[in-house]
Amino acid sequence: MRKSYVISLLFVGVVIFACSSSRKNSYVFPTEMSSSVQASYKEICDKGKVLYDIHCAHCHTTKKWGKELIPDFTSSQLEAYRIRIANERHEPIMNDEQVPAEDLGMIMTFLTYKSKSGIVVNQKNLDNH
Amino acid sequence: MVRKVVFSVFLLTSLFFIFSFHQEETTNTYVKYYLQQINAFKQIEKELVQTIKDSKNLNSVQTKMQVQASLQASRNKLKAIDFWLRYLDPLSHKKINGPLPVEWETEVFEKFEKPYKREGAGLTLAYLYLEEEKIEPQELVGLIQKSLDASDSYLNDSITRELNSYHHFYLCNRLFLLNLASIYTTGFECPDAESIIPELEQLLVQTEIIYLKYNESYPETALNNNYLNLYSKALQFVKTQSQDFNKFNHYSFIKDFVNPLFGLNQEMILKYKVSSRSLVDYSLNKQATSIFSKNLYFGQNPKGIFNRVKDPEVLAQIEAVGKLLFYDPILSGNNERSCASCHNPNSYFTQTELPSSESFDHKGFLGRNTPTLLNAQFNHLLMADGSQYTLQMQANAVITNPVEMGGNENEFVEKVLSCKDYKKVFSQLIKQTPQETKITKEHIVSAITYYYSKFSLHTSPFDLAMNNQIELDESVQGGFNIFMSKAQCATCHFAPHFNGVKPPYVGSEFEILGVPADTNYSSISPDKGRYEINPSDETLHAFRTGTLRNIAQTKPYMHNGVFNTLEQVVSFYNNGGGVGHGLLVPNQTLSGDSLHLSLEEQVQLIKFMETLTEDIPKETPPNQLPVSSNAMYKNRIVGGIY
Repeated sequence: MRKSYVISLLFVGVVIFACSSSRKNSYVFPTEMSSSVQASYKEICDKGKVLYDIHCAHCHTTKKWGKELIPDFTSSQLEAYRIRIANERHEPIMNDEQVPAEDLGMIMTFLTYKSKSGIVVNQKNLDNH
Repeated sequence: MVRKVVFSVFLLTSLFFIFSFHQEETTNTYVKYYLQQINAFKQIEKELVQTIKDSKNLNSVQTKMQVQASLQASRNKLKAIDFWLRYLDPLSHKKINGPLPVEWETEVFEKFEKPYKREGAGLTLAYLYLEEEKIEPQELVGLIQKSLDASDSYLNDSITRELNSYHHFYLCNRLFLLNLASIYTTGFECPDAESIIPELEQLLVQTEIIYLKYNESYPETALNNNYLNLYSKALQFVKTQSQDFNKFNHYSFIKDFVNPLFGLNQEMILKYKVSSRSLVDYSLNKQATSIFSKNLYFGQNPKGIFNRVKDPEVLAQIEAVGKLLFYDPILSGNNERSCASCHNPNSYFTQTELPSSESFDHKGFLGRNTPTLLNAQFNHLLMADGSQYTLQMQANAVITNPVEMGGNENEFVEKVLSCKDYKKVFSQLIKQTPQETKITKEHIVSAITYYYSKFSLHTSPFDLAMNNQIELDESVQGGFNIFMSKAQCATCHFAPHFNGVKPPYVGSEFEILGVPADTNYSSISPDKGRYEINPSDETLHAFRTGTLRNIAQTKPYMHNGVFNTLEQVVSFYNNGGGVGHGLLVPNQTLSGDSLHLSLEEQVQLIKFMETLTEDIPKETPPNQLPVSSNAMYKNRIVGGIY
């Protein structure tokens, strides 16, 4: 009885730890970027993450052991105008009215500098019409 | 053994046939026709280059006429494929038939890029070059060679593979119909006024062939009979009209044919679930059923940071706080000037008393006339010089401009939040913007832009007439026909918004008119305009083409408010702008020649412009403004005191 109590407590602890670590965003900025620029980019990335979660995560984020895995999009996949049209499903939900250029810019900044997850984006999905 | 060999040979050959047959199948009649037409166009251009190279003396009248005829043949062939070229690769199309020698493109798709310079090329410029006094064969061949090179891009895989599904067809057609209402009948890209209507006829005839080839290859998503029948009638109409574009009935052509065809095409876009792969479709709404409907073109985002809000109750809350802020001088440096001071909601969101508003320090006047905020959202770039990309940036720029509202970016948020009522509302609204951790200037300016944008959704008698809801006087119809033809207004003020945004609505155009500093034409207005933002020879004194909607109610006119009546404005254009009035404007984009408009024609033109006045509702200013906890901001007057 006591043992299971300890185990469940441990489990809860692990879950809390996992959640808190996934909530804290980590980014990789080029070393030549000055710290003040990094700080302002971090702010944009944080906003970009929130917008990513609203607009993109539904289809693009996978979950493993409670951890969010966000794919590593290549720079050509992140071209602003390609994002809008590369995928048939994007057209009604990623248009200028739904995701204005400013928001799209923040999402792209986030996806550019987020730390790598090792998940590759399937090119076939992107070119599908 | 032998049997085995024979069998495998048989198998291989049959496999070969199956595969070759399979390939045959993928190239349907429609695609074949496309390839054949593109190649035919290239062939004609090659022959044209050869004609020029072979001719011994290009400056002789006879050779000139021969080359001219050959050029016209190329243009006619171009009309046969215009339907595809313009949509499938807009940049290559401009190399084939761009209207200007040098153009600064502002169609920066995501607005983060700088405008870029494009050297002119193509058939229109070659045609114009023929009119020069001394013709260099190399120069002429160069213009056509660029067009020929650009034609090659239409045979690239990335373009031809679009033809294998039906989607592109309806989007090509949508752009085609929008241009029929905006540029094809106005001479926008046609160097010779006499060939405008013959070229239009050619365009319509050839496009009908494309329709039939398409329907043959895509029977399941075919153009319906309603569309095809109405299209034939449109063609009949053009055939019975005068070949002179000044006598062509532009009004009836657009109202009775082009706009209904557009509606039918939009229906099919929805029915067949057409989806876009183009970079230039983002600005257009599939739900719009008429060209003359305010929901056709998304334009700017009036909601700003509240972009995702859909709940009507929350939207009403944003609108209400936006209205208070619009009338609240707390945004200004001295707490005495509000948005409404210059953009008076009951004067069509502008001020009509002075050429330009008083400066912040009361000691002088602003350099530019206050433009109306009505329909500001239907623009790619904002301000007369195109310096701002979004409505929110525009609002912020005015609030913080030291000679306009004299506010301070860091201060005005704090000042607004010193009022309990504002703070309460924005503390609730911040839940709508989860990416933001605190209330920012973006929240404040977004509420303002959302408030005034609803006034841009109203219609004018002209829109009602175009949608067959009312009839307009014959003299007004005549005025519109003059607008579209002889007066050349429509080559810059494109229908339906009558500003410098032409289909597919992804860029703003600028013009150099040589507007004088005063009505005596003593000098050109010293304002450098677009040059201040993007300095170059072609941008000196250039200004963004503003809307003509509500023009009768938004005097004075031009960037500096120099003219007080529409009669003066029409006379300015009729006499060739600055150059026509003796000013030295080497880069003027308006012809310096007279338009030869009769007095009656000028009167009709103004009558037409008066039908662009929209039914803007009267606004009641708020009774009082939210009280601030800071004594300094306590005695603010609704709307300010300017």
